[in-house]
Parts: sequence; C-alpha cells; structure tokens
Amino acid sequence: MNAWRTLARNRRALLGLMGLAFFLLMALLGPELLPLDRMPDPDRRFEPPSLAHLLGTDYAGRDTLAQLVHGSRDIIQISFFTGFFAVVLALTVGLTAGLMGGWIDEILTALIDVFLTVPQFPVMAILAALVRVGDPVTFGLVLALWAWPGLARSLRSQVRALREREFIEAARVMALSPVWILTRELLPNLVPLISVDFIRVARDAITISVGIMLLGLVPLKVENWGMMLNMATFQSGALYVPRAWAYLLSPLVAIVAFQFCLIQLASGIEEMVDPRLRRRT
Amino acid sequence: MIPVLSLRDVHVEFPVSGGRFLRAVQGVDLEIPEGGIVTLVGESGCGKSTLGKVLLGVLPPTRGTVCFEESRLWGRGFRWTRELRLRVQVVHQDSYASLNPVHRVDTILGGPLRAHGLVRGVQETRRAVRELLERVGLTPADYFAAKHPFQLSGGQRQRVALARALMLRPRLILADEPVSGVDASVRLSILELMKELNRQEGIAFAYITHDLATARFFGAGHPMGVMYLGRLVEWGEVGSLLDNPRHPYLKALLAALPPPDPLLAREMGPLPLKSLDLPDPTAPPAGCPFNPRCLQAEARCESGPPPSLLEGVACHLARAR
Amino acid sequence: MRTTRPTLLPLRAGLLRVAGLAWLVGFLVLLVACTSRPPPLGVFYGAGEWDIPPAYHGNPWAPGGVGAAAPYVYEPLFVYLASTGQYLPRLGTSFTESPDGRELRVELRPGSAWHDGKPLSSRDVQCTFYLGALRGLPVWAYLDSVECPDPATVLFRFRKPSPLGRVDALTEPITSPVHLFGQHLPAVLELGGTRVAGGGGDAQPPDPELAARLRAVREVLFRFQPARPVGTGPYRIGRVASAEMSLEAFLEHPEIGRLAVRRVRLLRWGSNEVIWSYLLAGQVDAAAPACPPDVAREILRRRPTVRMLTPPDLADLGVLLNTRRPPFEDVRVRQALARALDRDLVRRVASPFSETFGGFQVGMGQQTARNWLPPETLASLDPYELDPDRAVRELEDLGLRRDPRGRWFGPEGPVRLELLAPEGQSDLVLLAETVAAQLETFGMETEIRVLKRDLYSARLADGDFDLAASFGGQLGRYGDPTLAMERFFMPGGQLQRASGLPTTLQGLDVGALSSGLRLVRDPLAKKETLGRLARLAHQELPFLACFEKRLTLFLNDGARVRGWPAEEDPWWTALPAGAETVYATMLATGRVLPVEAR
Repeated sequence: MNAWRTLARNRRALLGLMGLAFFLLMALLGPELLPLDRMPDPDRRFEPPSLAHLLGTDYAGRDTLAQLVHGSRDIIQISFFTGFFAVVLALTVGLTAGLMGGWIDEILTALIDVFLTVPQFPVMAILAALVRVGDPVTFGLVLALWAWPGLARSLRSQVRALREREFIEAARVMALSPVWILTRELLPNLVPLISVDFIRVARDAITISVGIMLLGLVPLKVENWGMMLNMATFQSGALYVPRAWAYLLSPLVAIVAFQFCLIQLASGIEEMVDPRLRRRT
Repeated sequence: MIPVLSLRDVHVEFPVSGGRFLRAVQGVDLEIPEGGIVTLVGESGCGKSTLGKVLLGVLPPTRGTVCFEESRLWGRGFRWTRELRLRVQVVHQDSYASLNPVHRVDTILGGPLRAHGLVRGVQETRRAVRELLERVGLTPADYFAAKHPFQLSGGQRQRVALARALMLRPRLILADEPVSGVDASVRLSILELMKELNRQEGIAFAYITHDLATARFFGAGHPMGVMYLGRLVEWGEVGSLLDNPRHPYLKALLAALPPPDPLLAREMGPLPLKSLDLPDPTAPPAGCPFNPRCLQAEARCESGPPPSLLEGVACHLARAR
Repeated sequence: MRTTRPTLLPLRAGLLRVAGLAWLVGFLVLLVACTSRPPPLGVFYGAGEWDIPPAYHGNPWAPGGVGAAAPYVYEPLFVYLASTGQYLPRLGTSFTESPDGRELRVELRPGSAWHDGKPLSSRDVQCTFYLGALRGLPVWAYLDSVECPDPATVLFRFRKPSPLGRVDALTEPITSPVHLFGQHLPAVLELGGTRVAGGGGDAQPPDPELAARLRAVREVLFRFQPARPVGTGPYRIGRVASAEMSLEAFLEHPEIGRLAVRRVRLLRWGSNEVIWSYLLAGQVDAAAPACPPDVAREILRRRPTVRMLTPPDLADLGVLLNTRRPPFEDVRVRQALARALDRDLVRRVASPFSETFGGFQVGMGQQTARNWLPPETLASLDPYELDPDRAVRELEDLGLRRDPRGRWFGPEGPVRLELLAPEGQSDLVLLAETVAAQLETFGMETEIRVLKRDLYSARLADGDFDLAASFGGQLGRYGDPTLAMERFFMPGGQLQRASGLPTTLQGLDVGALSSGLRLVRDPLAKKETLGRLARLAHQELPFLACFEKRLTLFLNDGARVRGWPAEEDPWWTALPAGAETVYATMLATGRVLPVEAR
C-alpha cells in the first residue's frame, strides 16, 4: 500500500499509469465499440479527418481510428509478453551466473555473448522457414530471445557487485534464508535495472515486430501500429500525399504516446523502489 | 569458563595466480571470554579483517579450529544452525554498504525480527524497532525509523548497524573498524554505547582497528593483540601494552601516534620504519617477517623464525632483553 | 556514491528513433525536392543499379557486371517489339530464315566498331554466344552452332527451330569481342560447353568432370576486370561512382549522326521511394517505378513537363491456389472463389493503373487472348463474374456450412487459410492484403505471411501454402502466351509445380502439349493448342488472375530531353523486356532529342 501511495504521489508515474490504463481500456473495450471493417473502399482513400472518420482513412479507404483501436491489442500484448519473457530469461540467466560464479558463470556468460552477437534478422528468417508463429505469446517469446542478453549481462555484474556488499554478509550472519536474501535484499536493488529494461524491450518490440512481419515469421496485420507506419511510409506512398497527414501521423503519435507512457511509468517505478531518487518530503 | 569464541592455530590462505598462496592469517590462537572485549590492531593489509571474517563464521579457515563455545565449526559433518549463526553479529566499517540502500530503517530492523519470529504483527514490530532505536540513542525513534540509510549521517548509520547487530541477542559482536568512517566528534559516543552494551548486556566484543587511540579507549582493561602479516606478534592488556610496547612493530606504531588525547587522534603519521611497504604476503621474507622493515634487525632475525607468542611477544630481540 | 543506476537517456533516444525514421524520410524527400540544381540541358538522366566501386568491375559475364549501363554500352543484333513482331535493326541490318527454320543468317551493320577501335566482325558475335554457354544462355536449348561465313555475316544453325529461339538469338546483347575474350573459346568448344548449356529436353546428367572443367574456365573468365567495358553501343562509360554513373557518346559509332543526346547520367535506383523523390524533384527523365496513384498525381502536379504512360507489362497478377489441399483441392471451391472475390477492388487498391482481369481466366489478358486464341474458345466458356451469392450457394451445395457469424466450416472445422506474399513487391503485398480482407469478410479466416523471396519460392515449390499472391501468365520479352502455358501446365513449370495441378486433365496430356508448344512453328497449329490449354486454365482454375499489370512510366519531356513517343507506340511494348534498352535505343536512333538552350 505504501508503494501505491508513493506511485500516486509521483506525477510522472501517475501520468504514465493513467496513459497505459487508457491504452489498456482501448484494447479491452475499443474493439467491441468500434468494429473493424477491413473491406477496402479505394475511392475514400487518404481522407482527412471527418466526423465519419475521426482520424481519416488509410490507403484503401478504411477507418484509421478503428485500425488504431484494434491494433492496440496486438501492440500491448506483444510489448508486454516480449518484456515479460525477456525479463524472466534475463533474471534466470543473470542471477544464476552472478550468484553461482565459477564454471556455471563462464558458460552462461558465453551464452549471453553468443546471443548478443548472433544477428537477429537472419536467424529470424531461418526461423520463419521452420515455424509459424501466430499467437502473441509465442511471438513475444521469439522477440524476447534477442532482447534478454543485455539485461542478463548487467544483472550478472550488478549481482556480483551486490553480493560482496556488507549488507548481504550481515543478512547471512543474521541467519536469513537464501530466499529471503534473494527476494528482500538483492532483488529490490535490481528493480530499477529491470524496470527500465522491461520498458526498453517492450518499446523495441513494436519496431522489431514490423521487421519480423516482413520476414513472414508472424502473419502480417495491417492494423499493427508499426505495420501501419510501414504501410504509410513505404508501401502506399502516404508520405508523399499531403492529404494523408492524418493517416501518417496517427500510428506515429500512437506509438510515441504509448512509449512515452511506458517511460513515465518506468521512471516512476524506479523512483518508487530507489528511495535515493525520491523527492525529499 | 568456556570462551564465547576460540581459535586454535588458524590459518587462512587464498590461492593467487601463479600457483602461489596468499597467507592472510597464519597460526593465530585467540580466545574471547564471555562478556569480554578483545582488541585487534594492525595496519591495513595485516589480515585483521580476514581474521574478522573467520570470527564471524563466514570464512572457513584453511587449517585450524574455530569454536563457538562448545561447538566446533567447519568440522566433518558440521552444519550451521540458526542458533549458532546468531551468536556472532557484526558492525562493519562501511556503514553505507552495510545497510540495504533500498529499505527504510524500520524494514532493515523489523524484517529480520519478524523473519525470526521475535515479533508478530505491525504494531509489535513498530514497538520493537522503536525500543531498539532508543537503545542505540536514535531519538525520536519514529523519525529515524522512517528514514532511508542515505538520509542518515555516518554515525547514525553505525547506530542502526549496532541496533541490528544486537537485536538478535548475540553473545559476541564483531566490530570491524566501526568508527573509522565516522566523524571524530561522534566516535567517542559510539564507542561509549558499545561499552555500555558490553557492561549491561554482557555482550562480548571483538574490536578490530588500526587506531591505537580508540583501542586504548574502548579496550582498556582487556586483552589486545597486535597483528602483523597474518600473525599475532604481541599480546597483552591494552594499557600495559601501549605503555610498554616490546615488539619493535608496536613501538613504531606508537611512535607515529600524535599526542595523547585519543579524541584528537587522526590518521597515523609515517611510521619510523626502514620501509613503509608491507612485504609481499605471498612470498614472506625468511626469518622474522618483520626484519626487512625493522630498524633493529640483526642477523638472526633473517635466519630463524621468531619465538612463539607464549611469552607475550614474538620477537628475537624483545625476548633477549 | 558507489551505487549504480541505469540511465534513462537511451530510452529517450530510442523514442526519438521511431519518430525520427518517418521524419527523416520526409525530410530527405523535401531536401531532394528543394535542391533545385539547374538541369543540365541535353543530358539524359536515367536510374538503375550497379555495384558500388570498388566492387564494380565492368566484366559483362561476371556477377555484378556493367549494371544499369549495359543497354547503353552494348547493342543486340535487333530490338524486338512484342506487340507487332517487328525487329528494329541494331548491330544487324537484316536477317533471313530458311524455310525449315534451321538456318538464320544475319547481316551485320557495316562500320561498327568496338570502343577500343577494333572493327566488329561476325567472330565477335560467335564469341559472345559461345561464352554465353558458360553461363547457360537459354538460346542453346535450340541452337546447334554459330558460324561465320564472312566477317559481316553470322549464321545461326538450330537443332530445334522455334519462334522463341529466334527472338533469343536476335536480341542477345553482343558483349564479347574476340580480341578480349577469344582465349576462352577453344576451351568452351573442346569441352562441348554448348551442349551442357543446351540442357532443355535432351539434357544428359552433366558429367561431373566436364562440369568442373567448365567451371574452371568460368572462373578465369570472371577474373577479368576491364573497369571500362568495351562495347559497340552509342555510349561508353566515363565515370562510375557510388551514386552516379556518367556515360559519354562513342564518337566512332556508325550512327553517331543520329545520336543527338551526347551525355547520359544514371542515378542509383535504391528503392521505389527514391525514384518517386527524384521524379518529384524532376531529376530523372525516364523511369517506370511501381507507383501509387496519389504519388503519381503529386509528381504530375509538381512537374508540368512530366508525362505518365501506362504501357502493358504483359503479365497478370493474382492468387495461386493450392490444388493439393482442402478446400481448394476441389475445383468447384476454386470456381466459387472466383465468383466471391471482387477482382476490380483488388486492382483498385493494389495497382490502380492496371486493367481488371475479365471473367475469362485463360492465362492471358483479353487483348492477347483475341490475338492468339481461336475465336470459338472464349465463346464456349462461362465467364466468372462477381456473384458472392452464387458462390455461397455453390459452397453450400458442396457441403460447407456457415455458422451464425458467417464463418465457413469444412468437415474438419473452420476454414483457415494461409496466404503468402513475397517481400519487397508492394503490389503483390497489397493484393494479398485486399484478397485477405475480402476472404475475411466472406467468412474465411485468412492469415497473410510476407516472406523473403527465396523462402517464398521454396514454399511455393513445396506446395506448402493455401493461397499465394503471385504473377500468373507472363508473356515476357516474347509477347507470346507460350511461356504462360508452360508456367501453368508444363511438368516442373513454376505454377504447375506450386499449384499441384495434374499434368493430365480431362483426358488430355497437358504436360506434353505445353512442353512442345515452343517448337510449334505453324501459327494455326499453335493457335489450336493454345486454345485447348487456355480452356483448361479457365476450367481448372489453378490461378485466379486479378489484374493485367500496367507499368507506370514517367517521362520528363522538355526539361533536358524531349520527343518521347506516345503511349500507343509499339516501341513501348519492348519495355517489359528491359526499359533501359528501350530508352537507349530511342536515344541512339534520334527519337529522343536534347532540349536546346534558348
């Protein structure tokens, strides 16, 4: 409860939280309220905003707002699952390497290095030939495969530094259990690192998912915001059509706003967990 | 009476590169009587902090025995029990690193209390923490309970650390340079607090320091050991040892000490020695390990090992005199 | 403080990246549009690709080669105009064919010379074809030998006379003078490389030792790096940079008098968006990028001197159906689909300048069908008109059911389709998207997968898909539906293999019929066979064509150069075979003239 109060008192975090809640509502309720008509109507393409189409229409004359609303589901799920899996993977590997040391550490560090150096897109292209990914959970997992090593590496070094700190020794002589030491003493110190990285991964997932759609690993969805932006800039030439400003800006603004909220919330969580950043009261 | 803690011929060696060993502690015998105080002094790098870790039970010795009262640690089939663990607690030198920076003081103290079932519920915990803080002189307790470590001064943090050390009712507290990182003006009050705990609660203290002035103040009337290159080279009651040093090393340390008032004691001046550097502990000199730095060293100091500490000092020359 | 804390800075930088991406592109376009260099009069600006120096090497045989400059540097014997069957003389002035088609005699243009001054002879033509065998020149499927009765005459002897083989022989660019490449000839002749290249019908499994020795010759050939290639064309390469290639007139060319535009610059193509920007800025004089209508309108609005033509690409685009798998294994489902899909809607979204494919799915466009099929063929067929209600009835008659939400169910549950599209081909991607949207609305769940080209081809070849956005009948540089029928029916033909259509249909061995089509020289017999195959294409429906593609050709007429021919000009029908060859020929023959300074 104390955490909530801190969060609520932090203006940036509150802004981020409210923004994300808005996006979440949009993803949960929006598609029910605003049906997506995927049927093209080329005569109405690139229409500027009007009452019928609040954000105008796309290159095939379909409502941009409906696409944004339906796409939010995808975006939120992919971002979340990618971030979640990346953090889980990074925590597992980073903590194990940092705490165990020795040959386990060496093997895991080598593994991290391998994943850091293996180029993502060629491997994704090979993966695309082998498997077909459809649901956002698996998609998130695939995206996470390339997102975790950076965090794992910093977690490992952070843990190695922390476990030499005297407060850990004090906890040991106080006969506190390893689980206690891990969850109460170590993890809270890692939260800023984790939360910032979660946001980074979730954010990158939007950009990378477009590239992966163009590799065929996942089905192409025109209402994915990243794909909307790609369609607007590269496939349909909206960039060159002054009338199409609303179609071009909508996914762009949506992506920026979503990431802005993520960042605000991340810094909020960081301040909440790391008291040194908190304003003195 | 069985001592709280006793060491017999304890050696600690760390492997270093090139197949050599760093001999951090060599053949130390030590007993800390119940409710007593033992002071260990020496330069940094002499192995006193390593010895502290052995005393604390977090570092098993390479050779030798460590006993917490009747229980021999590290032996065949030995397992830590909670009760055994809690017998020795610690106050570290770096008060910042010794307290978890993300927790408030009440969590730092209340968490372990609840983990060990010493208190139940929010109210009881808060009361216990308040009592603890009052005992170590942090009043108003509620004010300090809500603080994070970084919001406290070094002295206040050491008091929190002391509260944490004593709250689980240990038999011995290892105080490893507890005041060296603290403003000189509050050093005395913290040492006073420790003395009071020693007197009133009967908690034994192992006081590790490089500062002879605070050693005299805190350890007066109790035994003190002088450590040099992993060995105890002199042993005796604090006052008599400091007034009549026999080992040339202690003499050099005392000569470097600025004038009497212990409260004004600052860092030591340059030692009156042949060399200010400690010899390489992975390749200690032959004979008496102190001979390369000793102003009085003779030929025999380089050939044979110094006599044992049985007579209170491990020195060829001191014994002859 | 000894604690570390991760900084938020990279986050903010990354946030900007997304916004930056879009704005950067926009900014660059603006920049290109704003830098109004005064156009150098009388210089022709084209666009294309070539290896960036120092990778650029100028050897026409090795990969990379001469790049976009090749049509300006080299000439073929003739340029073939598919719509009229006309051959425009280049290095050849005339040709005669023996009645059995086995001998083709070409007279060379007198006075032709290579850029290094050596005169052109029939031996150079021979050398080009024999070296071409090392790279598997397709004409060797028909050709037996190339002979030189005299220095000004080339004699092609055919093993298998074919109208297509004749086009191949006459339009091949002549690139390899004997004095530069002749040293490889004995090896090729001795090893019988032409037989290996011939492949085709009577291909023996290549002898591994022979193949290895040919490969060795090829490797020596590849190592040759002349940098400034030696051709006979009206232009020679001046400077090659990463962004621009500059070409100058070759003054010893026999037709130099007709060459009014003396300098050519080629800009790097990069991608269609780059060309759009160049066109918006008026910096390219002729280019045919795929182009959405609004971008085209914007180009025409901003550049009054630019004209847009939409000549036919002689190819149709649509969806390929996998006849191995349910639901499309049943020809009646395929036919129902043809009535359910609005092909005109697909065209309007994916390629608005193209022509909607009519109801006759005969593997070729309507105009081609009129030219090449017997008149009664089309009359006897039932065209597929848009009629979703009929499609629903037909599917229901087949036992498919719809749930209350309108989703189709087969015997094994809901109909779920996978629709493949090749990456980087925006008209096929948009086609796939529009088809999928229609199928979804129709009640069939459809997933689009955009795949890299090679993976796309591999999936198609393995028959691992339900639907695929694809090219259908392609007439190619011959303007002849033979190629289209081969694609549909010949065993191993691209669409035959992918769709899994049997090679015997309605009791007819369509495999043999389509394979033999190339060698049919009698126009009536050919028409007859084409008619039978076209009817089967329509009835069996392995491919549902949506539109006949038209190119969007932008010509800047009057800024630097002028005189581009009108849309109806048959010259434009050579465009699908190679746009640069058409521009180069128009420049060389004086059809395109410089704008003079006033």
